Amino acid sequence: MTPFQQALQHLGAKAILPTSLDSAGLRQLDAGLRRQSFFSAETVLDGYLQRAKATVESIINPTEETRVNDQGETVSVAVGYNPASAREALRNELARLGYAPAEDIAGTIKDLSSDARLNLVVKTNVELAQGAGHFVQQNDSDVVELYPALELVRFEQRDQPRDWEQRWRICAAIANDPQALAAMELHGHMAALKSSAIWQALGDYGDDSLGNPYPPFAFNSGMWTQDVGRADATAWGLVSPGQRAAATGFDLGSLFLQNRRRA
Amino acid sequence: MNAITMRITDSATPALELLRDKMSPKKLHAGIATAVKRLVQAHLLGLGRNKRNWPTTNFWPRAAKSTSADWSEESATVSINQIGVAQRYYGGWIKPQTRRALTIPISPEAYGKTASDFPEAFLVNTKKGAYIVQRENKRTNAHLQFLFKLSKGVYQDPDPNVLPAETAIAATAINEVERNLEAALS
Repeated sequence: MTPFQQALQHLGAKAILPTSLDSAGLRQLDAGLRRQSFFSAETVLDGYLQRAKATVESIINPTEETRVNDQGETVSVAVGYNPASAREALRNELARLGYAPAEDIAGTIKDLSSDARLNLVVKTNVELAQGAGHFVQQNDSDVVELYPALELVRFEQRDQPRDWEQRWRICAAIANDPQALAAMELHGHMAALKSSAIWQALGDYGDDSLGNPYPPFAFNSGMWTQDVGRADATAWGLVSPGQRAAATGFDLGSLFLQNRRRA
Repeated sequence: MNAITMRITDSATPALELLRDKMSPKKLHAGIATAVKRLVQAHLLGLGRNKRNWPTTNFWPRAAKSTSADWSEESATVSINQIGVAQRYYGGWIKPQTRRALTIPISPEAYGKTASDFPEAFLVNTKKGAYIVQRENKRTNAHLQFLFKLSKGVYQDPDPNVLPAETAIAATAINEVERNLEAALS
């Protein structure tokens, strides 16, 4: 199995950040600090965060082990968490650390042991690592010339989806990218060049945003990005035939820097 | 007798060197890996919901997000790094490793969950096997909701439909190479 190296490296570089800040407070922190840290709102349990990070790594990077079973047979066993077993492991860790939620928050998203909170922590952190990994691959110099653009597409269905087309319009204006707007309005594709500022604008838009120029752009979002080839990018008006393409202006190296500050 | 002189100028080597500069093997492999990654992601997203139409765990969309590309001078690789995908593709036995039995969900409420998600559930042994159940009505103790069936192991048949057909993967790779070489030559 070939690991998803870029996702693993990005996750591995994140420093544990115990914090008493709530979501609103965390949003005030520098996006770079958040990107380089593994944290959860109002979670100061260092050991729990370490365990959560290891669990996320296990989901991103399942491995194979050779074992001998009860019958004495040598078998290959896949090792790694899925969201359900990750939830169980983290709930057990909280119990081991003696965590008990206050009565007024038990069962809510503020309760570290609630299903909603555990699912959010696991899903968000797995996807942040994968999103960063894809972003690095998509902006590799070998890829950009062949695939100069990205398209925002839906990977997971939602009962109450956000209005992504409206977000796209607003962010295209913020990014001063009329081609991105036209790609949607005229061709039905929320697509833009990889060098467009619209991707960071999407990551910064709204109270539910996560501050990154790559998916997930908002909490519990079902949207993701895919590479757009030169032919489609040309047809959708994003690039002229023969025009050179540029990668993102975002400092990709910062995704692998270890942060040693604390908040 | 007059001699015939032919002078052959090598114009092929400069063109080939230009082509090699514009489209190195590593770049060709980058294109192939990216194209096949898109193909695989689209295929996984098209695999749809679980057969019983229970609340989705988004297994296939998650697998699509875990699909990554890698490339070098020598090769292009696409990997799906999510537990459970290889099991579905290759089939085989699923047996408990750290517990005495597997817990097979038999109700929509239990799908995508473990027994520990139901703190008030308990074990019931019947003639048809052992089950994890919970009371539907705590006050009256009436009606048991069957959540999981315990099993020593299950066998899954291989499912080649988990991945795109090899012919589709090959066609994608070849089309990518042809398209990129054509663009480099033009």
